[in-house]
Amino acid sequence: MPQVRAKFPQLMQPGLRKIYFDSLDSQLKASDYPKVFHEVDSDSEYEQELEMAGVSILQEKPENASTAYTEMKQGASKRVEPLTYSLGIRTSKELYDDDKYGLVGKKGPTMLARSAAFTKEMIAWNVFNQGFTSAVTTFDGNPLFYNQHALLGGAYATQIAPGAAGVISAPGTYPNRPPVDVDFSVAGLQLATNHASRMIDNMGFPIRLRWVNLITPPELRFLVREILGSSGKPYTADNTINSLLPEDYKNIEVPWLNNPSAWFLVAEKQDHALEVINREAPSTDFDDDFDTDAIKQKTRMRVAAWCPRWQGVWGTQGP
Amino acid sequence: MPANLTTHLPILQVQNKANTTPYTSSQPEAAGQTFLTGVPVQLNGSGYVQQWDGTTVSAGILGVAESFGLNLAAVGTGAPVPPFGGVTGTIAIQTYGSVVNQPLGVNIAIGTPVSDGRTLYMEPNQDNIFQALFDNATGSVSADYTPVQASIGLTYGLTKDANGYWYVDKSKTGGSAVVQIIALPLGSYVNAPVNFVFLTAAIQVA
Repeated sequence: MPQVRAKFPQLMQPGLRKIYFDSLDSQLKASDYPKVFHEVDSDSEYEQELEMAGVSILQEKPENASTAYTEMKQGASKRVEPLTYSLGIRTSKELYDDDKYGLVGKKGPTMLARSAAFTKEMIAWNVFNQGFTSAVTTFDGNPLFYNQHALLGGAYATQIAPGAAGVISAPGTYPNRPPVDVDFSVAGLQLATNHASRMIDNMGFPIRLRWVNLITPPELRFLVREILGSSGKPYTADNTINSLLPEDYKNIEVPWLNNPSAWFLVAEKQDHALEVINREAPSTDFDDDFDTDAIKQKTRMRVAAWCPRWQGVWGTQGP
Repeated sequence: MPANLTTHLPILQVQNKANTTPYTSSQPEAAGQTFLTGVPVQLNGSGYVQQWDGTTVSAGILGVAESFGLNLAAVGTGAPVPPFGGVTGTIAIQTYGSVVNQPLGVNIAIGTPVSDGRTLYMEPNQDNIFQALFDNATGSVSADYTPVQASIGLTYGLTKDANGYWYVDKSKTGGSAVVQIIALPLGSYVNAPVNFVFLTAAIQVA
């Protein structure tokens, strides 16, 4: 469907004092996903990655006994396939020329760029939005946020992991989501903090993780301020320090989360696998139709987002 | 008598009357489909793509597959959910073995073709001209298998051979016809390719 003059009669003559235009008045501001996600370039139809586990603990060797030998473990493989996203605008040459404000045709690329930016942002944050479902899974085949991620080391891993018994709900697994979703609260944050402090790798070795970013939807803004902004223990009359403050969580409030009560914690970039895969950066192209002289403008990109490892991220859907 | 050839060729889209790129579309695939590329496909009763059953003549053909059947365990496995969902699942047509202590983990052989849960197909609209081999499921002499100048404009059905490829079948006419021959691009000889369009009445989704 082309844009023609009959659909924009207000633009045919000068006289409008101001035109409120989405792409001019409400820019997307800064992009949020690069604050959290790795951005990786790809030159292939898909990218495939593999998880490996190391070896377990040393064994005591009695005098003159033989050394015990072990082996590493090959884990699961996982793929991500960038999809193509595209959108175009067709504008009649007459509308393009007669638009006294130079908006409909000439601002097309700006609007398409805005559309591309929003689409890419949502593709990235969809990893969080869909992270509680089978739409976003990790190497172990379970949802990204799950309370029983299967460890390659199995029950042996949680058997040797110090303190794991107080965290796990099944041998051979480790959570990055509570068994029962929790509100954003002091207790919830303490639970998540403990999950990070006790977090282990596939063989049960502590990885001494620390959360850096607290990711929340706008609806939790005031709760975040109350809990992380109070010098004393929140919601009590006791003269007790706010023990969460030394954790130094940096709140990243993003409007891209669908659930108003879900909240997440993410470790430093080097400790997590949240990735936006750029197969083709957003690009704009133009052409004229020989017969109609209509102006065509389009934008396309190829992109995907995923998180093949669950270590380094934590999430709950709230109540 | 059987067809003259035991195996035929994939149906190809060869020309477009509007001299433009032919319209290609995709829909989630039905479970267990193992069809080849270049075969007619249809939407089943639930709206998922399966190989054409060969008998539904009226509004029976969705298009010609440009991808092979993915043999999905369930309908549409892995197909991205708009507007922001990516391809899910293994994104591979096959996995092997098992992963220690991770029953849901998979091994994907390097280079295994991608599965995105959808069938890519060329729409059978009147602008798209396709090409397939000419044969006859009940023929006995050379003339039965040979398209001639007088074949242009005639309507025939499609038949699947034992190897999974489809051909324009001279033995299917009248109410069994789904295509109309419009050209003999390489001339007239036994089992020559013919160019055709799908009959409007046979198109499932206009």
